[in-house]
Amino acid sequence: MTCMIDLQGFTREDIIRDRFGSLDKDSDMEALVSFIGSKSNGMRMNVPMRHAKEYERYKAGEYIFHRRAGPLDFSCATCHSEEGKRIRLQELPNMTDPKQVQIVISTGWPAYRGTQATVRTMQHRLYDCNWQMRLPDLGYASDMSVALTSYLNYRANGGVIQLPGVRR
Amino acid sequence: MICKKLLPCIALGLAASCATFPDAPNVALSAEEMIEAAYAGAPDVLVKRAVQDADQKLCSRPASEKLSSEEAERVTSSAKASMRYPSSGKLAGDWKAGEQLVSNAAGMRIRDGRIEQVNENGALCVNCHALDPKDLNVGNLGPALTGYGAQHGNSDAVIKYTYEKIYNAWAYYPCSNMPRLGHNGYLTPEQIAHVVAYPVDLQSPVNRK
Ligand code: HEC
Ligand code: HEC
Repeated sequence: MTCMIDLQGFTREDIIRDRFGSLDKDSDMEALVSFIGSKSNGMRMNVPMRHAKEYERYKAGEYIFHRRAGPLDFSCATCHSEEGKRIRLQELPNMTDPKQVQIVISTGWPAYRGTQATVRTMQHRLYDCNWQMRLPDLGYASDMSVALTSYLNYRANGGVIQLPGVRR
Repeated sequence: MICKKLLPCIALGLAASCATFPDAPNVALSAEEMIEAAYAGAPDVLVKRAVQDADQKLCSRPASEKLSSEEAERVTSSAKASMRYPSSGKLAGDWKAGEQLVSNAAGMRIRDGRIEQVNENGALCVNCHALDPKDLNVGNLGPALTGYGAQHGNSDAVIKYTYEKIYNAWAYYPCSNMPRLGHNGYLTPEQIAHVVAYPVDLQSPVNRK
């Protein structure tokens, strides 16, 4: 997004307006993320952790993952840190297990979501979980969403990338 | 600037050498700033939801960092102090009204800055618990409650425990994954009384073979 804004002349508002597609209109961002993601197919996740800022973001992500808030006292960990759990019949990946994080990240998102009949990005998945948590709309590409993504992505290192994924 | 000193922290594999970098208070500070910014623009009443109370803060540690017994005591005693009961004094209502509530998961979700419109918030129980043995579309974040009344009986003590468990689950299990539905104002005391009747009443499907 930085390059789109700084070099290509897009505005942040343009990008955000087009962040999630609907049945009437596809999203260029969803298409772009899927295209770029698929360019790494066959390679292994290899997120660096060399710069202080990378580590800081990762630690913030870890903090946010466990942070309980809202009228239902949920954190990401409430639903994603135990084995074999479900919300109704929806199986919940245990993201304390590196193997499961690898599956979620390197073969998961962006994903074609059958229930939504379109491709969705990790940004949308996080938006959706945040919505279930009864919190206000999660800002698109907000530092908070990037911190959560860094936390998950780094822990998925080693997973073989095969994108886009397919999800319900 | 969060990190005043840039230690050469090459990889998390060397975490021991940089255990204090950035330290926990600074991580919290920068993460809290990110959270505030992520919800910027939403109405204040909605942004307030993301602000933690003291007990939520204590309950936000990774599973590996256990609460001390004093901390656990603080959570349970503040939960006990939070209890409110229906003005009628009746802690078990109508199981049929409870049945409608337990499988309803709608309420309080926010999209594009607006709260979804519902007549009343649902109780969400079935998202996490099995209740009616015939209903297989149930979650398992919490233990199965099928046959609850048949097993525990429907004494005043069982009714009071069940009511308080739903009103504020942390009174009996500090930092449980079960939400504090009454304390948080998600369900009213009257709604909770109806929900109590559903697992406890011996006529309810929960207790049928
Ligand atoms: C109330 C429970 C709940 C909470 C809290 C929650 N999620 Fe989820 N999450 C779900 C459900 C349900 C799914 C969909 C699982 C499925 O389709 O089987 C899901 C899916 C996901 C996925 C995709 C998993 C996959 O298999 O591809 C990710 C990533 C994710 N959540 C991250 C998060 C993060 C990060 C948070 C905290 C901001 C969070 N979730 C909070 C319930 C929750
Ligand atoms: C997000 C998941 C979740 C939701 C929603 C939820 N619970 Fe729970 N519940 C749990 C968990 C986890 C436990 C086990 C830990 C504990 O005792 O707090 C539990 C425990 C209980 C217990 C104690 C069981 C025992 O044997 O003592 C009862 C009773 C109960 N829940 C009833 C309910 C009812 C009724 C509802 C709906 C109003 C409900 N729960 C909603 C997760 C949930």
